[in-house]
Amino acid sequence: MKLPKLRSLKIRLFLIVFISTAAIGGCTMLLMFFLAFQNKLQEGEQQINQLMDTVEYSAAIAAYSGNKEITNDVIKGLLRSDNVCQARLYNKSGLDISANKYAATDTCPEVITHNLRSPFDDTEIVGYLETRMDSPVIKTHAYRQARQLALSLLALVILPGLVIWLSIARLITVPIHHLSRQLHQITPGTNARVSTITGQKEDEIVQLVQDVNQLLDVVEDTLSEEREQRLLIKEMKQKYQHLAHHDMLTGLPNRSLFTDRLQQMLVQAKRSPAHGALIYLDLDKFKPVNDTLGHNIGDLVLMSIAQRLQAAVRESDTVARIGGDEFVVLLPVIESKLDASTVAEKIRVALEQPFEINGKRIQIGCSVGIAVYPEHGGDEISLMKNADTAMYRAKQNGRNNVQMFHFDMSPYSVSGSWPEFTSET
Amino acid sequence: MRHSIFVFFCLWASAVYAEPDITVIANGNNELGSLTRKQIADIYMGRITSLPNGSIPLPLDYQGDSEVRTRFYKSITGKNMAQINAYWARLSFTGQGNPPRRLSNKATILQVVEKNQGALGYVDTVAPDTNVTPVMILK
Repeated sequence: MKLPKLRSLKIRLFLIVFISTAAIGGCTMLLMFFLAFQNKLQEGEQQINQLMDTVEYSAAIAAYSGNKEITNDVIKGLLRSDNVCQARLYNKSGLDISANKYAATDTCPEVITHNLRSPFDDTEIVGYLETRMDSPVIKTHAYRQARQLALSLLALVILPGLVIWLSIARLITVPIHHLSRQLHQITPGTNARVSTITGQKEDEIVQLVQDVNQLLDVVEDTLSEEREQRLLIKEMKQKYQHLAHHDMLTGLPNRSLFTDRLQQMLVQAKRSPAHGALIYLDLDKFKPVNDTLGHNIGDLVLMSIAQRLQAAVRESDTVARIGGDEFVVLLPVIESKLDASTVAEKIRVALEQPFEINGKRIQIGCSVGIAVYPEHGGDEISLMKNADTAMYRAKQNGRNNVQMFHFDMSPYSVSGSWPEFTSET
Repeated sequence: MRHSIFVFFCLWASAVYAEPDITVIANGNNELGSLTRKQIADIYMGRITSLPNGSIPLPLDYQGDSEVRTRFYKSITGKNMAQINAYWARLSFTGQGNPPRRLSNKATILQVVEKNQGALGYVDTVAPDTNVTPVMILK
């Protein structure tokens, strides 16, 4: 069985986890990067300000007194910081000392200036302390630190995502996928069952697998039981159908089935200008067999008769037992009356032969009457009646002979009605 | 009522007698007129290296942390002696600045001020017959 294209759980789950992790991680990373970068830049400036605060008193003394040595110390101290690119201290009385980290000063355009107040009078500004921020260095540091922080954060988001995905895949998606694939390929009612993945713990999915298997068991049992019953019913139906339309002893069609076939012949014969014949035969000397040798032997004789009759006719012809020792043969298609006479004669000869039953030779015979369609009747009643009349004539003629009906024959019964088939002759 | 007047008198008297004015003095020939508190501070803390009339200032100080000296510095700089000493220690260390010359007593200061044109000093009281001129009275 080909599996349909599934929007696989495994892949969908992976995409959801991957995309959400990437989105959250990416956003967090970018945000953190910019925040950290800004923060580090501010920190750099703050550090310079703090550094300047630290040296401010000395710088103020230097500016107040015009002391070059202290000024130099202050400038050198400031320049020791990575974040400072240039330091300068000056006052209005001619003191102006500065030092640069780089040869070119234009690399550091950002200037921070602190006013220096007189150590003895807060209201008097005695000079200025000026530094230029080493922005490239600060930016490089900030960038490096922000990047490190952002990457750590990304890992912090991605790793749990990966762990979650792997856990869900191992615990749920893979077993479900396995179960679904197997179940899809199983035809209910067969002995195929689903299995768990080796090493799977006793969890809900394992329980699901067990329950599915139990259901499959039940389905298989129910279906096979139903199949058996259906088969049984079919057999019974066939049996009873056969019983309804056949003679139990000989297995030949009974009167009801014979009437059907006769009607069928008549219907078909009306459509095409065909001829048919009805051969009516009554056993001679059968009653004494029953009376002297018993019904068992009589039954065996009847069965042999049925075999001989069937052997004497074509397959398309119907041989039926319609009474105790009465049989009819329906020839649906004949070329001429002669065909019917030939078959009837063949039958008479066949039954004339003695039967060997339980080591006893039993000799019987039959009287045969023929009625031909459409000559001797267009319906079943007249055909039967006329065949019967012909048979009766054969009996009158001393049994064991064949008579073709003709209209000179008078019905044997005065009333002319269809006699009951209880002939005990 | 009588009681409160007595307390007031006592306070006034103690104020008058405990803290007499400090007079900053200069050489009598040095026609400085009067100086401001800031000018005096700048001279004494070594900021000013020449006086308005062109002469080189020679500020004079006392040895030891006397009451007058403490009051003088507090008055002109707002700092206590420890802070002033720390200031001078820092400058002296560079070898570029020196604190005012320190003399043993008021008589010596008066003597040096009378003899040197750029000299300045401070005293609690001034005798009227000396050749010094007050440039500021610190209350």
